[in-house]
Amino acid sequence: MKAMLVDGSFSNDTLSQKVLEMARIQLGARGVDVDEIVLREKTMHDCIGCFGCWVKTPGLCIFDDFGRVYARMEMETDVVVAVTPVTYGGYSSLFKRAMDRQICVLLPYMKSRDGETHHPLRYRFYPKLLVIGTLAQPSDGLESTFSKLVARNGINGNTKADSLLVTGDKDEGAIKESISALLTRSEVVG
Amino acid sequence: MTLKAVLLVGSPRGEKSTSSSLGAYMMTGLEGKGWDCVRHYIGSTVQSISDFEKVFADVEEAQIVVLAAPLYVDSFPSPVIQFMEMFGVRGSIRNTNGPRLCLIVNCGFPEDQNMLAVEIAKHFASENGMEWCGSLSMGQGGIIWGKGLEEMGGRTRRVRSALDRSVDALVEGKCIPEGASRSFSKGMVPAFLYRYIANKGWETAGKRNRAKNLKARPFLRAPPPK
Repeated sequence: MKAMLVDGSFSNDTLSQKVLEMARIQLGARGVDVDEIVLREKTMHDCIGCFGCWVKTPGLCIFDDFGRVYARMEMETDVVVAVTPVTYGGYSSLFKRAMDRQICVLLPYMKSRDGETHHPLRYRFYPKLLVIGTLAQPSDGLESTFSKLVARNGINGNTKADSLLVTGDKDEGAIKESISALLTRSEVVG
Repeated sequence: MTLKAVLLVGSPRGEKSTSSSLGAYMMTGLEGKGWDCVRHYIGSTVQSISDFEKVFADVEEAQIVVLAAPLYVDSFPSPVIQFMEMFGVRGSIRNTNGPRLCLIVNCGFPEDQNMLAVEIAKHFASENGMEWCGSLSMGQGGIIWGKGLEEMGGRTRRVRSALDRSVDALVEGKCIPEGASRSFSKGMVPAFLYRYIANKGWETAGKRNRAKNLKARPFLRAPPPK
């Protein structure tokens, strides 16, 4: 199994770095082949909403930067494990930029599915999406928004998605256990 | 004392966006009530600290801040999130009497799928010393596509009415009325018709751009070895 470990944190974020290190170790221990991406070290243009990836260069963003590399890697992996600081209940701008640039992996058309409209899939296979959010203090409101956001991404991307929120008050053992549980319930094995 | 409102346009499409059309209509309404209105485009604001500081100063002085943004992948576009991050780092607002924050959000689906963007905006308000004063949330943003709401005539009648009612409430110090929010989110055409028109529109745009195959798969995974 191949995994993409995505670091969506900023350089001064020690909690996210700790979580990333634990995720890296656990993926390795499960025999998973890991490609790691540190988004803050990459140049990636924001999505400008031009829809060029749908009607000019179908399937490819008009910006030939790391956003394209990310999309290719995503389509070649089995699971994306992303770590991001929880930002008002959502993702960091770094991880959100990467997500916004991935609309090229869906088709422009609209289809009704389970009473809601979604874009049909461009590819047959999409990786699972596991997002680990980090937050200095526990907050029920932020946690609720965050877990719903990951679930919505799964629905719109028609893929399995799961989330975990790690707060700064947790000790290392508890964090390790919760990451392990997330990987196990998502059947991440080498 | 002249009251001040700030419009923050969160669409990367800037002035040509549906967010700008909707926000501008609300600002015109507030200007008509004697308010001083300022507009900023978030995409350019986050490019430099000095530009951000100008926006922050305007927000600090304002009584009402209107964030008008589209839905990108179930949330706000990344520049809006970056703006929120910068705002959080910059620190709390000195103006203890506000400002109040309201949201105008639209998505390209026929139905309103903006619920999590609304939640994120609410969290942003509460963590930055702003009073939340409601949201106007709609699907079918593709129909407006940056056009002026008045020039679109009857199609935007309900949208304009909801914005007018919201302006009336905001200047009285109230929140956006629930009835206005409900009416705003109803949609301008039936969902099936919106999907039909949108799907035809993608085909037409593809032909115009000489794109041979809109279903191309440039990242198709190689089949596993036998």
